[in-house]
Amino acid sequence: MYIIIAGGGVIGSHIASLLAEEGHEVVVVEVSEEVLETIRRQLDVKTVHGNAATPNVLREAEADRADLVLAVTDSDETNMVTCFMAKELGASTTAARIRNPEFSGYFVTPAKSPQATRKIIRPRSLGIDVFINPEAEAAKEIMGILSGFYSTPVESFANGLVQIREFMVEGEALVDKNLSQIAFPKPCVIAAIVRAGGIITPSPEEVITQGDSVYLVASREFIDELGQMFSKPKRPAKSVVILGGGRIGFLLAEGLKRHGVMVKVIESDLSRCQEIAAKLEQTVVLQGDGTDRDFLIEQGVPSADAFVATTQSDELNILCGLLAKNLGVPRSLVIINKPGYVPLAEAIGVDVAALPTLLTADKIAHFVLHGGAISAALLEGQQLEAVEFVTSPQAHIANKKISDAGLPKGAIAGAIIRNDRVIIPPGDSLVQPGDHVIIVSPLSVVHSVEKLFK
Amino acid sequence: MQFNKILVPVAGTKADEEAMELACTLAGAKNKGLIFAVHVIPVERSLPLDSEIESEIGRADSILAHTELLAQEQGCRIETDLLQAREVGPAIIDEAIEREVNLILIGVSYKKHFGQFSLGDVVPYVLKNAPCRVILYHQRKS
Repeated sequence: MYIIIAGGGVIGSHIASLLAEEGHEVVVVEVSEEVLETIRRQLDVKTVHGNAATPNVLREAEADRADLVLAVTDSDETNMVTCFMAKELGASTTAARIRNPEFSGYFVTPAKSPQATRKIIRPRSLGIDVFINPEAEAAKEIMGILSGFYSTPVESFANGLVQIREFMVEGEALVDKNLSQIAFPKPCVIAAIVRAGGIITPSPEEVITQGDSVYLVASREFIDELGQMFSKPKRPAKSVVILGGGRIGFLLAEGLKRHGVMVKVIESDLSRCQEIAAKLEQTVVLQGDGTDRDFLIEQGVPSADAFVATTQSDELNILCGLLAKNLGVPRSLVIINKPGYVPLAEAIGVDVAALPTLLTADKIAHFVLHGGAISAALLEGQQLEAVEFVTSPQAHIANKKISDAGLPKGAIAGAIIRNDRVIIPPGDSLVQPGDHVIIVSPLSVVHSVEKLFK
Repeated sequence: MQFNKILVPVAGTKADEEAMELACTLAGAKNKGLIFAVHVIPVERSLPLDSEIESEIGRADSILAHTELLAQEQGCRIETDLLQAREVGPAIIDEAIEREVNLILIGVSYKKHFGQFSLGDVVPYVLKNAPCRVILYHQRKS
């Protein structure tokens, strides 16, 4: 695909590196010459200097032949105008990062008379096919984690029939065992083993060691039961303390409240406290310092089911997350913007570190689909990608066994879905036209997998 | 007969998909004709006409996105509109007049009302009031 990325900031350059690695033709448009120079040095992408919201710059970037234009600058307005211009110039699809929720909705136009038909203006009418709100994505992801039994996000495929989830190996029962020795109670596939930050493609002889985590592919109804073999399930959160009343904190509080969860928000800024207290119903908003141990105890934080740190400061989030854990909160989640802090946060006991940057890239991965694919998700800090392909009658893989199909090294078939029936493991099954096949593969070989489905 | 502006009301049914395919055939590929796909959200009288019914709008948006995709696959030019009105029939007619279309193409599925085959309220209204030709595409009874 030919992809233009407007904005070379943290999100823009991150997505550019990801897409370039996948073999897409990428152009980054950026106003700052300094930022462009850094991108030129680090990434194998084309660069264009200028404001992407102007037609001349978009023409220079060849927006007319773009399969996708991603506008991810810091300004919502610039992103919207960029998408609108690009669409007018002939770009096939556009996506904009919009952080102000007031921009991302629909609105009814005023009518000529009280009874006249109203026209509803949709984002698509403005030339924007997809709105990406990193803060909303982060809030959604945390809500998903808090409502489940495990602290890892789940990826769903084939209309939710199949799920992929990472599980930490916590107990002793599976340690030092070959995968072939483990008797799984339900059908499943171990798609990858994560050891010391690296990915291992599992073979039957692979031995599970302490500290590993595994990516498990299974039917939706069995995933929690299988997960119990690896990690101890935690009860879904019924009372949550949120540190930080910013956009993510606010959206999270609002969403959790809708699901009947008791929410307390701790915010240091008094005026922000007053603002969100007026907007959030049945939510306790406290003004205070999240690092003050006595304050946290006084406010009943130790009895909460989960603590979520959502401030702007990664360091503060990690520190407060650790403090909450120390106070006995079973689940401690933190928002981190610098990917380098993630292993550190996990090593010191913080359960999950959700990165808005990665979540945005993940949302885009769903959108930048490969030929024949209908869904995709990035796993393990974007080293792996799970892709759901639909087998066409002309596909190379059609009427072949998965084991004979010639999947590239590192790629593993997780499941076949035929007429809403899940086949796991798919190893010796014949892939028939119309089958949905879920493949988990390192990012660098996704292209080769894609060729099998062409 | 050449139809260069075709209005296709869509509600997300299988019959609508087949009607869209027919509309694409009639409009002709290579930018010959233009298709207007329209979805109308009926607003109950208990609500103000300007209400933003989020759940309905979201559903309507995905119906129109799917319709757009169908037309693009056939290489047809399409414009989509989302309307909300008290009654669906008059909204379709107003849109047909405003867009100056020369054909309204409606997909109809097999429906029974009190045991009798029924066209519902919208189709008879459109047939009676349309300012242009109307084609009803009746989906095969499954």
